[in-house]
Amino acid sequence: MENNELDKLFKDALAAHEFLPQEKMWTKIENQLPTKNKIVFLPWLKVGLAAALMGALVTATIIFYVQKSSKQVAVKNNEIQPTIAVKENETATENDAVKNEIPFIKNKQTDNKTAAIISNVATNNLVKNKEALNSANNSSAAFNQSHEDLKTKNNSSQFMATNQNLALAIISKFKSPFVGSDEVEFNRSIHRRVSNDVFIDELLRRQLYFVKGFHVGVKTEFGNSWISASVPASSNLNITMRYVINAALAYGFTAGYDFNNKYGVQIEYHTLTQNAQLSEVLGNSSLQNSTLKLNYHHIPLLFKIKWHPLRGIESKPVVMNYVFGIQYGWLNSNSAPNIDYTLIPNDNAINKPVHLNELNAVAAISYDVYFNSFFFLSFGGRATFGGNMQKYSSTDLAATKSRNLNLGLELGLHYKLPFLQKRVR
Amino acid sequence: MDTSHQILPELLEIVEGCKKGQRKFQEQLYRYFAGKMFAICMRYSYSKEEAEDMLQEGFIKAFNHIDKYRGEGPFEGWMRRIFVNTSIEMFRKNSKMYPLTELTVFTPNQIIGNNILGDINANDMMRMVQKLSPGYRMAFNLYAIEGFTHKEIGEQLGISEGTSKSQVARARMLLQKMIEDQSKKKLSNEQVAGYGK
Repeated sequence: MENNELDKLFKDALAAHEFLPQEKMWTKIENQLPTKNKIVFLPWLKVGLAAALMGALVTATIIFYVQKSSKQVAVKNNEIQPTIAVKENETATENDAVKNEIPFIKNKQTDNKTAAIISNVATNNLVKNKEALNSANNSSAAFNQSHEDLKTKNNSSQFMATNQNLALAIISKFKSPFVGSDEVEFNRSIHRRVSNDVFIDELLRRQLYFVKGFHVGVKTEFGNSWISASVPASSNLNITMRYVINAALAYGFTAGYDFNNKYGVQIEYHTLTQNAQLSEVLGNSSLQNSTLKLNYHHIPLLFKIKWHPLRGIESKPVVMNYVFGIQYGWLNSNSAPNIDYTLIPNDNAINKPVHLNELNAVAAISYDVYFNSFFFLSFGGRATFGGNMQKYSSTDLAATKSRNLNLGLELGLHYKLPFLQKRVR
Repeated sequence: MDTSHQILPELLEIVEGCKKGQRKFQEQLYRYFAGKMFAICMRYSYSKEEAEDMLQEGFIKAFNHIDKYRGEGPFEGWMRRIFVNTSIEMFRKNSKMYPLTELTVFTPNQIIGNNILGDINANDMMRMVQKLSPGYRMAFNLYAIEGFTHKEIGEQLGISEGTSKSQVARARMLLQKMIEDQSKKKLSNEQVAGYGK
């Protein structure tokens, strides 16, 4: 038999031949096909990135404004003068006064350089004594000498009437000299620490800042939400991850406790609503758009680390918080008011409420602006990231599990409870 | 007008339904092509189980990519191509797992006549093809039945053109041997049956 004959023989016999597979084969295939009414989130990644950029710009603008305002406040002597906790019956010498009123200086007095710089400032800017400036640059002995000079001159000076004013003047003029010199950074560091200390004094003096105690409040959060839904690998889809970004609005309640002026905890409850733009994956992998309204409940448990780099906005004290914690949440309900049910026949499961648990990590930076002894406004940026602990089975969504990322701005109004308050340092 | 590339109206409806992901039409498409595609899978596999895996893989791939069929050719040809490609993929993936079979050197009987071949049916031929070692089976199927050139086979399987020719040639020899053996066996059975009468 020739080769061609053999080939033809087999081709004729087998090319159009049929073998019926077992009936169970269809069931096996069907189980691996994508769910008929699969709904996944649109890949609006570009929109998400644009929104994130806008959020970052807004946050940067706020931070810039806060820092600028605090600097403006810092250079106003009238604003700072009351910041020294004056005790009229104190009769300490100038050196002692400096040490007492500025604990930082007292603690760091062993550093000759510090002493020299302080004496330089005091002498150069307040007493205008060039000779003292030169001598103060060299040793701690010069520091003592300069203050002897200062003490002498102080008796006849109109603006150096008190020890507190001396310290105040040092602080207020601290960053003006030595511009461009090696001491600039060092001066700034001292300035921050000294002014921060004075700032806390002021808070305590005015009783604006209860460093220990409870507070309650209300909050709102506006941001963008990404949800990534992973398609099961067995479905053999080309796209295994899709994204959604949509504006999300949350509002709720807060309650917190400050341990001291550095640490605090806060628990919140808020409900978050977002309109998600969704799509149905058709057999040809095309997407049929529809809208799904998701409503979540979230309970964040937060730990706050407080910092006081800012002396205030328009003379109002401001405290900065580094916040991190975990957030437990669940999907309360979802609805699809605009969905085209002709594309999803025999399915109304999407309107049923589900309970989809999720666990997120939370990180935030916020500022507390104190209006008076009881009320403060908080604002800042917050990011949450986490994953769902259950699959979207009851909603027939694509993901067996999904991850979510929220970036938003938060705003809250808080009330310091008058009881259990304690002023501590 | 050339109608060979036109899709049958009833099949067109099924395909359109499948493009929308409607399960009813997906099942209809499966029922329509299951027999033909399973035959292809059997041809390219050494066992029924492997053929079933291939069938499953092929249909899922077809459903997921059915939107890429633009009606520019016979739909059955498109389906066949998917299953052939699936079998090539599985072969390449599993080639290291296949047991090595040594070629039995023999001299084929050149006097096999059509009268003898007439006694061999398609099922027998299918079994013969399945008995070939994976490399021979793949090369013979692609060359003799699908109409690939040796160059195309080499590209698809990652072998040289010469190797493809060699494998097809050896497959033919083995198949002829099997046909010869089968014919002798049938003849012997007929003789035994004749003595019994």
